[in-house]
Parts: sequence; C-alpha cells; structure tokens
Amino acid sequence: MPFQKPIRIIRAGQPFSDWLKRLWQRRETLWFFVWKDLKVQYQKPIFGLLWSVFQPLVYFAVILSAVRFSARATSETGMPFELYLLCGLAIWNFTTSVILGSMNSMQSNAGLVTKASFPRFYLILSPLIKSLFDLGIVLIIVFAAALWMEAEISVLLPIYLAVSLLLILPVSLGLACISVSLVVWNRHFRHAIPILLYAMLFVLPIFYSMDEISNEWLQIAYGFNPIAGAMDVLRRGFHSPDLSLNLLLFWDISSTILAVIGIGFFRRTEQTLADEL
Amino acid sequence: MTAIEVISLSKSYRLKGNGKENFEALKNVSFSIDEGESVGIIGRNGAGKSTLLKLLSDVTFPTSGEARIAGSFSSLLEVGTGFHPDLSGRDNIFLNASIIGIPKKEVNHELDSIIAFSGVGKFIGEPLRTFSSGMKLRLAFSVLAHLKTDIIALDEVLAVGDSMFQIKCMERIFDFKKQGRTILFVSHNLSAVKKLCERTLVIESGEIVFDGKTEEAIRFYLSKQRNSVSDSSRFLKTIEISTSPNPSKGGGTPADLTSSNQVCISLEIENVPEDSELDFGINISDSSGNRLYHFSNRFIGKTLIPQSGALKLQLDFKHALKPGNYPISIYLGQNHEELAWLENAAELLIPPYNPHGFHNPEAIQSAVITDFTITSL
Repeated sequence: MPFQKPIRIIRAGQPFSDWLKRLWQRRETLWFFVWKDLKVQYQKPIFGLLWSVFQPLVYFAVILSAVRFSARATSETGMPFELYLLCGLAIWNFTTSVILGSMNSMQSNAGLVTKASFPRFYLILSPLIKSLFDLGIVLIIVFAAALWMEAEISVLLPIYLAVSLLLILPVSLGLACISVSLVVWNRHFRHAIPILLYAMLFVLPIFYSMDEISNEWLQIAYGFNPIAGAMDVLRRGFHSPDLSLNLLLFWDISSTILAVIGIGFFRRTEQTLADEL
Repeated sequence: MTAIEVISLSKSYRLKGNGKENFEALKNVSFSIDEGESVGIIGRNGAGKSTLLKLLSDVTFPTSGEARIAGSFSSLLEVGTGFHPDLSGRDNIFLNASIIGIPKKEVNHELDSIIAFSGVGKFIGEPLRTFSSGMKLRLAFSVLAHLKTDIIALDEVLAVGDSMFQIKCMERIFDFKKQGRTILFVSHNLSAVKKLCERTLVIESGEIVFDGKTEEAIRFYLSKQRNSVSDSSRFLKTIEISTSPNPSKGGGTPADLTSSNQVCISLEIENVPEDSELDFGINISDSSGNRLYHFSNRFIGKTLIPQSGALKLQLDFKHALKPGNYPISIYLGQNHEELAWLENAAELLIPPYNPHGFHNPEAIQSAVITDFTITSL
C-alpha cells in the first residue's frame, strides 16, 4: 500500500520507546493540564496560596499542640521541633497530594479518557507537577521558619533539597501509578487508599525521629523507606550533616524500584483504561 | 493514496459480571480508505461504530489486528471534551484544542476566527459555567471546525444543537470535503450520510456487513433492519405500493388533487398456519416514527379467509400527506392472537407535488385536507 504521509500504526500493546516518544511529542497537552489546575486554583491568588499550604499547616498546628500538651521531649531531633515537624509534613503532604491528585484526575477526566487521545500518563504527571509547585510554596515557608527560629542552616541545603526531591519524586510517582491502577482494577480502593495515606502520618517519622525506634527490624524497614529517607535528607539541611551513604543508596534503590513497578503497572492499566472508566 | 488501512482489527471487552466471558465489540474488521474519501459508517446502537472510531483515534487499544493511518488524524467523539467550567471561553478554546492535539501556535493564529465562528461574542472572556449549553456547543464545534488535520472522524456531531447550528456544522463539514480531506462520518442521520458520503460501511454486531455505495448501503441497512425485527417476515411474500401519478405543475383544482392522492398497496401473504379468519392491519408512520394512519379489515367489517395459507390483498385509500417517506408496518392476527407485526415492512413514498399552485410548496408542513368548505358570510 502506498503511503506518503507519516504513518501511525495502531495495534495491541505499545513499545516502551513509542510510549516515551509520544509522552514527549504531546508535552504541550501536559502543560495545559498543569496550567488548567493552577489557573483554576489561583484565580483568586490568596485562596490559591492558602490551599497549597492549608493541609500541612493544619496538621502542623494539630500535631504541635498534641505534642506540646503531652510535654514530650523534643531534644533528640537536634533541631527546633517545629522545623523538624514542618520538614516531615512537607514531604508527607507532597506524596499524599500526588497520590490523591492522580486518583482525582483519573476520576474527573474519565470523560476525556473515553473520548480523546492523549498520553494517559499525563493524568499522573500533571498532579505531580502541580504538587511540586505546592511543595515549593511549603518549602519557602519551611525556610522562612528556619530563618525566624534562627535554626542552623547548612550551606549544603540546596544539595540536600535536591537529593530529597530525587528520592521523593520517583516514589510518589510509583505509588500514584500503583494507586490509580488499583482503583481502576477495583473501585473499592478509592476508599481504602486515603485511609492508608493518613495512617502514613503516624507510620512515618514525621513527629518522632527514627533514632527513637529501638526495634532493630523497624530500623531496617525505615532504611528501605524512601519517604522517610527524603524527610531525613531534607532535615539534614538544617543541622549537622552526617548522612550515611549506605542508607542513601538503599533509599535510592527502593525509590527507583517503586517507580519502575508503578510505571509498569500503569502501562498495563492504560491499555484498558478507556474501557474500564 | 491510502489514508486509512485497517487489517483484521478486533476488540473484545472482558465482561466482569459473568466470570471470564468476553464480549467481542469488533471482529476481524478490514477495510481501506483513500485520501479525500468521505466514508459513512452506519449501524444500530452497539454495533461497534464508536468502538471502531475509538480504536482509530487511539482512545483505546485493539485486542488484535492492526490499523495504519497516514497523516494527522483527529476525532471528536463528542464536542467539548475537556471543557472546564471555571475557565473563560478563551482559555477553554486553548485547553480543548490542546487535548485534541492542536498546537498552541495554530490556535493563536486562528483564535479570532474561532471566536467569530462560535458567535459567543463578548462572552468569550466569561467563565464557561455562565454559558448556555448552546454556546458551549458552538464554541466546541468552532475549535473542531478549525482543525487542520488530514483525516477527521465525526461521531454523531449533528445529534445536538438547534437546526441553525446543525446547518452551519454541516456546511463546515462540506468545506472539509471540498478541501480534499478524508472524512469518517458516523451517524444515525441517514440523509446526512447520503448527502456527505459516496461510500458507506454498514456495521452489524462488530462486523462490516456491507461496504459500497452509500445508497446501496442504506438500502441494505434498512432491509436488514426489517428482517431482523422478527422471523415473521416469512408471512409477507410481496408488497407493492403505487401512488397515482403526479398532476402537472402549476395551477390545479381540487379534482386534480383528489385524483393525485390515491394510494394502492397490494400484497401477498403466505405461510398462514390455518385457513381460518385472518385479522389484517396496516399502520403508516412518519419518518420520525409517529403513527399517522391505521387500517384494519375490522373497521369495515370485512372478513378475510386465506386459501391454503395464502392470501392476496389490495388496499386503496386517499392520503392527505405532505411529500416524504412514510414507513409502513403490517399486523397479522388469527383467533384474536398476533401472528406477526412487521415493523417497517415497506415504505410509502409521496413525491413532491403541487397541485394547488403554491409558490413555495415546501411551506406546507402538515397533512393536506381537501374535503372541506369555506363559506363567505
């Protein structure tokens, strides 16, 4: 058959290279998704900003007062407890909002998925980018708080911040992919996943330190937990830097594995997404 | 030059309810479409038309088989995909265009003409939620109307909007055609398909059962519909309909009209189970399915007895119908029980006629009564 124009081939399954290529080709659509979310949120800039920091600040206030009331010792953290808590909440809030945002965007764009053709991965990438934007605002608050509390700020803070992001981005992406796939597979996960995310608030070292954990196995478990890792690395930016490279490597590996598993899952889900929604 | 080539494309869905059962929405479909062709796709609801378009436009993936598409392809399965109520009309143009794959540069270039075509005027800066549904629709279609793609797939775009807007849409679609673009047109509106497409595919339970000239395709599709209603069509051997010839154009008298509105339906019935009294009825509807006339042998006390299961009948009546197509359905009954209901067994065609010499006979939009008097008092 003679064809002159560029040919698009439609068949079952799509090679990973094509998938990546299309992800790149249609990037303008991704920016539009992000732009839409930001524009809708920031139509009234004050409210927009408020929503970016609302959740972490509310949790900050609640946990801080709970800890203060219980007169719990906070010296082990080696930095002002408020700052310690803010760092943990910033990371936790980011992961949570990426996961919930992806589940939401899948739900609210169901009509789009069944009608228009665009890389479905954008539905996860766009909440990720938007959450990154929100994280930026929260981090500005963290930095302002550090200055205000006259906390010790490491010169290596930008590097710690970058490493922390490198840990949290893949793991959040991976978890979002897995969550979305689970929800598409069985709708009941829509209710289960938010509960698990709030449980993470207590399981992760947000208002306590990993060093306080005496159980050896739990210590090892934390050693593999890249979210805890991201919190730890970020906090190093505000006090004595004694980061163990071994631990960082573990976090990095587990974060990458989660991302790979997640994207793998999502690529399978994507095949039938328009049929299932 | 080939624009679309489909090679034994299949799509099956997993049915969740009944274990591992699969539903085959599309079975081994193959066809090819040349550049610049306008091809209609018709079939009943659930026949697989939309599934085919979804596969071609990359919304979902096939289970097996392959399709090759040359050049850029865009489809609007439903106008207005991805509109956001809180964004302005202008923002939504960009958003919608981006989702269906039009680069921002192109939209910037065409923005004024898109806004002009939509006719929403000064409201373009207002949030979309303040738009009426008609305005949303016009905005969405005008984005589509400015697409620059080689191939355009349209699925029931004409099912919505007022008649003025539908005409505007149709004009735009004809422009696409004139520009030599390839068009795939899915519609239940057979007359629109007839107007736009030379070639039509008929899809039935996931298979292409006809691929050829539109007129033949429509005839095939309608006859299929008749037959598939029930196997009761075995009762009807032949049916013939004749209307009295058109009177000449120009001025006419009521007498001309009376002679022109004569209809004669003759039919042969066979395979009637027993030779006892037969109930016979004919129903005439308009093309939208509204029942207009009903005839029954019971109304006039006529007894019909088949001879060895067969019967020849002739029905003569005067109609008061405006020109158009009128589907005819037939009822057969015996011993107060229904033998057969032949929905749309045939079609009565009233050709354009103008015995009363009106300048604009199309203006007569209803039944014509000639048996009346007007008295000056």
